[in-house]
Amino acid sequence: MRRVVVLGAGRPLGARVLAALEALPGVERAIGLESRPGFIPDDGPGIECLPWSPDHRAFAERLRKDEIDTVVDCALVEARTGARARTPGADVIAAMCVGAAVAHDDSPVRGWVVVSSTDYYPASSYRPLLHREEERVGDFATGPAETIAEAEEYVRAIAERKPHVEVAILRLQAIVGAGFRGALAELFSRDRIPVCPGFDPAVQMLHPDDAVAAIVWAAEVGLTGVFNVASSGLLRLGEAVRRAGGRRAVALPFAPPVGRAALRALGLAPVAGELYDLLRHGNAVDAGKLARAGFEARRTQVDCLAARDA
Amino acid sequence: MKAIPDAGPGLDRWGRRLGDGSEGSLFMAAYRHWWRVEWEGLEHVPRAGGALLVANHAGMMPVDGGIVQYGIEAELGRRVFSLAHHGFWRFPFAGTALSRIGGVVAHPDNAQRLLGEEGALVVVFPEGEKGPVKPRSERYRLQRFGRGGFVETAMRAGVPVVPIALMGTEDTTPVVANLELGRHRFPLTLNALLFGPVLGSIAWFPAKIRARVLPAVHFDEPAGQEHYPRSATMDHAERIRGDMQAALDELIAARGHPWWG
Repeated sequence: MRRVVVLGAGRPLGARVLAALEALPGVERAIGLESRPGFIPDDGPGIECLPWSPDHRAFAERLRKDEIDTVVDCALVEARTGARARTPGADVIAAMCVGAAVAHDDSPVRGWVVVSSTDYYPASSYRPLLHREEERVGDFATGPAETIAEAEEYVRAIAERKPHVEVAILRLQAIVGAGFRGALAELFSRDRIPVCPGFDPAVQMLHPDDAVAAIVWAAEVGLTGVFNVASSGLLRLGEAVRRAGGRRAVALPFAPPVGRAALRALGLAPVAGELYDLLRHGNAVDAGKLARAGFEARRTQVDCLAARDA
Repeated sequence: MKAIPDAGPGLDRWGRRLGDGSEGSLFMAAYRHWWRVEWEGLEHVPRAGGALLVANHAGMMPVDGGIVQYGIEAELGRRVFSLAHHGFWRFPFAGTALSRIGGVVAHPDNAQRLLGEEGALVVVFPEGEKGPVKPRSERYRLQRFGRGGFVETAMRAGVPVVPIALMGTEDTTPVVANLELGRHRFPLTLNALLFGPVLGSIAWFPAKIRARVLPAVHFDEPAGQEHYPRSATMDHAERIRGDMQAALDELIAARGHPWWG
């Protein structure tokens, strides 16, 4: 990896990945791209606006012109990488466009790291303690999980068709840390944390440091395959709520529509649907495959809570 | 197994309360003095490594799960987990309460994790709900063992199946009639008839309970396969069922009054 492009470089995760890549001694050129000017922060002068979707020709041309060998896509899943709390979901069209540019016959790209999300695994009571990568869930997926499964499927198809491109899909657990606004980050930054009485699922978070390190490491070593990414350890939700500062919890009603409405009323509207399921069933994953591949998370679940926006 | 440092105080990663001696103490008093549980063949339960314990399932609010789980834990000092239907975890408190005492969602991945990676003992009831809701005429007749999925689970994890025949559990809540409502069967127990539907569901009779552990069944098939031939798993399942039925018949034939044993 010498010349690399980061997609979504204006958003919290992309910006940190870009900075980390620029600091790597082997990296000659690191370009940060954004799809819309609105994503480019005022203090981000190094980031260019070059939409890669729905028309990818300018982007593909750029890859050729700058002889880009690695593409790191941090913009596929909104809620994980976005500056705002949003309903999670993958941009399937963007996945297809980036894929088309990467797979183009005269494309110089040899490595493609796609940042996906553990929202790939739908929340339900019929679930393992820790989701594994090979779990087949896409066929039954709805909502955010459906779009993520679809986007990943397209990425995997490119990986199969272009064996000379090393393609890594990283399913990132909910990032909790300053500046990140996913469902769990929103939850734990509350003064009064809503909970579903009688439910105590395992919760799992990802520290921004681990997220950035994993993405950069995957790009560096040319990782291939699908991997879950999470900070080490596992917390029960009740314990996480206690550790989030011993603040008062708010009990949500059990009936799901009423519970979701209550979450919306509490100002958690964008993530209410996802969060209500998380509060009952959790979404913990097994990050052992990435550990066996050689990446070790340095942060714990408690570190994530300590790093959150209070 | 690497210890997880921040799983929370007093809980393991499955959400189970770590033994502080108080867990199930009321149940264990009933185990010793109400049902006077006696074990035979405990030497067949492996002292280390995973094993899938399978037993016959019966009675409304079945006590057999607790008998096998806490019984083996008390007798051998090994932790035992029970696989339970995920429906319990859809409702508040039910699933959490089960998790606290060692219940785990019956998902194939959980079974692999417990048996293969953690080398734990796991209890399943292959009859599923067919055990508890069977009519009185089927007393101590083992129901169909699903599609032999438990054999496949054990094969994949590379652990033996340890069959356990339980005598007396069905007499803790004897069925006197079967009510049918649409596709669902509701056995009416003598307990419910005498004590009403609420108290009757936990007012178990003091039937003498005897548990016989049969020799562990080891499989030649290699562990970790994606698929195992249905014919092989069905054959094994059927043979295990036959052995359990024979042991059960023997235990029933040898006992006198259901309460005094």
